[in-house]
Amino acid sequence: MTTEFKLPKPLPSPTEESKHFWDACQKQELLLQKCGDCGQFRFPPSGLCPKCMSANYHWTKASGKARVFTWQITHSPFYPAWDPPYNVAIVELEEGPRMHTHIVGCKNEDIHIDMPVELIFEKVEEQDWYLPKFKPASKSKSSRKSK
Amino acid sequence: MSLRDKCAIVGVGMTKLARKNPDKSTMGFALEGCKRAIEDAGLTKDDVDGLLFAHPSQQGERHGFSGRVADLLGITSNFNATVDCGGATPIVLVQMAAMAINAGICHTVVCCYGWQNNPIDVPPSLPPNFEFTLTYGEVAATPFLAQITRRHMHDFGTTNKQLGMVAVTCRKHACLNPNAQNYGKPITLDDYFNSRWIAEPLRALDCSPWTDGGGAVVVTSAERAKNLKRRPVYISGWGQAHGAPLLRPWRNPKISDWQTWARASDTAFKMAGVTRKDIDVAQLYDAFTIVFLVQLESSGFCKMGESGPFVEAGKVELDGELPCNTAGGLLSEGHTMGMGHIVESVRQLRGECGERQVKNAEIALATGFGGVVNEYPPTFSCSALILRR
Repeated sequence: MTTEFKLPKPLPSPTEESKHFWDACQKQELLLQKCGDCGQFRFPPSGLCPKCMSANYHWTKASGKARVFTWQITHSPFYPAWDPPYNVAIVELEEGPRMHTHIVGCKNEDIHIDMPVELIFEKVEEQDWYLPKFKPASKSKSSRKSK
Repeated sequence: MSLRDKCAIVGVGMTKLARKNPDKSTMGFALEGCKRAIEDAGLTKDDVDGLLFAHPSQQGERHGFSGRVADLLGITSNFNATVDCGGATPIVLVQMAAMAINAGICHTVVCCYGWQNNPIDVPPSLPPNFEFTLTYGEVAATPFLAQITRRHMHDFGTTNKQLGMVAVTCRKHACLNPNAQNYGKPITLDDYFNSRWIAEPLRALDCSPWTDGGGAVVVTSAERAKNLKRRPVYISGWGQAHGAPLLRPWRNPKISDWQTWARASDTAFKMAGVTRKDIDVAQLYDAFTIVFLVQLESSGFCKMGESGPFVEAGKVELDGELPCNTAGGLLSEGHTMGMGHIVESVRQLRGECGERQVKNAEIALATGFGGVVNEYPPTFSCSALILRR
């Protein structure tokens, strides 16, 4: 089903804090800030560590390994740029932080909580912008098949 | 110094609530709510010297809104603020009013809310830069609460039937409230299961409706309250808590632990010096059925994960062990950001609720919940208020 009225998919407008994160995504790298004092990884990008308030940090490449923390299937989008139904998941990265994303490479019905997933970059339809998404981790794929 | 019972709510007012009510603007509804509450208290505008406004920050930023409400009412105020903690705000306003009165800044404060969903003075606009959510097609509250629902189902075995029971119960109560938006429109569990998915696992009947309308309450000192028209309803305890548990797993490993919410109600019960068993009637924030369930748990009426069976057993119905959302709640009375929960608590304690009156209600709990769900990190604001007659 196509929506009668459709807008282009909105791209993020990077802020002073998030610009480095999004720039790295365009090079297909997922970078997280790691606190220079307590070692905590954080997301979203911020000038201060939300654990110890330190302003010291360095950008660190994430492993790309994550697990599905929760997900929903949008049937009735409030913003008409996607064809429903589509999934939006919140994944927990191996480093600790959680983020919104899409799960690709499997059916919506096959998504489950704690499902191991791995990072993949995909271009936003018709636009020159890479978004971090996640697909089932290769191991989990075979183990679920064998069920 | 404890502020327990040092202030009272002496007047309440609600406007007509409707899905579409083009008669008034956000300002118009706020003014009507204030007028009704001030008149209910038997006061005049000149008796009021403080005004607080709960404003959802959408549809164009409005600076100084509370100041304009006061001026349009003709009130010269000593204490004024527009406050934004989402759906936690109306209860937060009552708390701020009580604090300001006890600090001697003012003596009588109107706390008000108003909302027009389709304002003719604000052109439709694109959502703001929700860079980490809208980018993936997640916008507005329903999908985010669907994420929470899925996790609650996974952790505790909560079912859609249990969520549906919340919707059906609230609607049943709304059918006893002639001012409710869904008065005269009863629903069954079948209706619930036949309602469409908005964001799975949430259906249309898991969500509160869009509501045009407003309301207000008047707060004054317990001493002044003694000589007013209405039986005073004393403000016995309150609490607040704010945080972003979803995005800070190292602080709160499970989303459904909801420690943030529990902190708000624990503080309120401690201040009021009462226990959960003392609550005769409760108005728990219910913008979505899942929010109601989790509030039952975090308010301490059942253990984590046991809210579904608690509702399924009929315990939150009018004749149950904990009558809840007796006016219909946000789900069926209408979404007034929780102002309706305070107004209904007061009316129950005054014994004015007719068919839906809880017998001999002496102590009431109201809770609020605001989720800033599309900005990162998604934060929750929680508020709790214990009232007694």
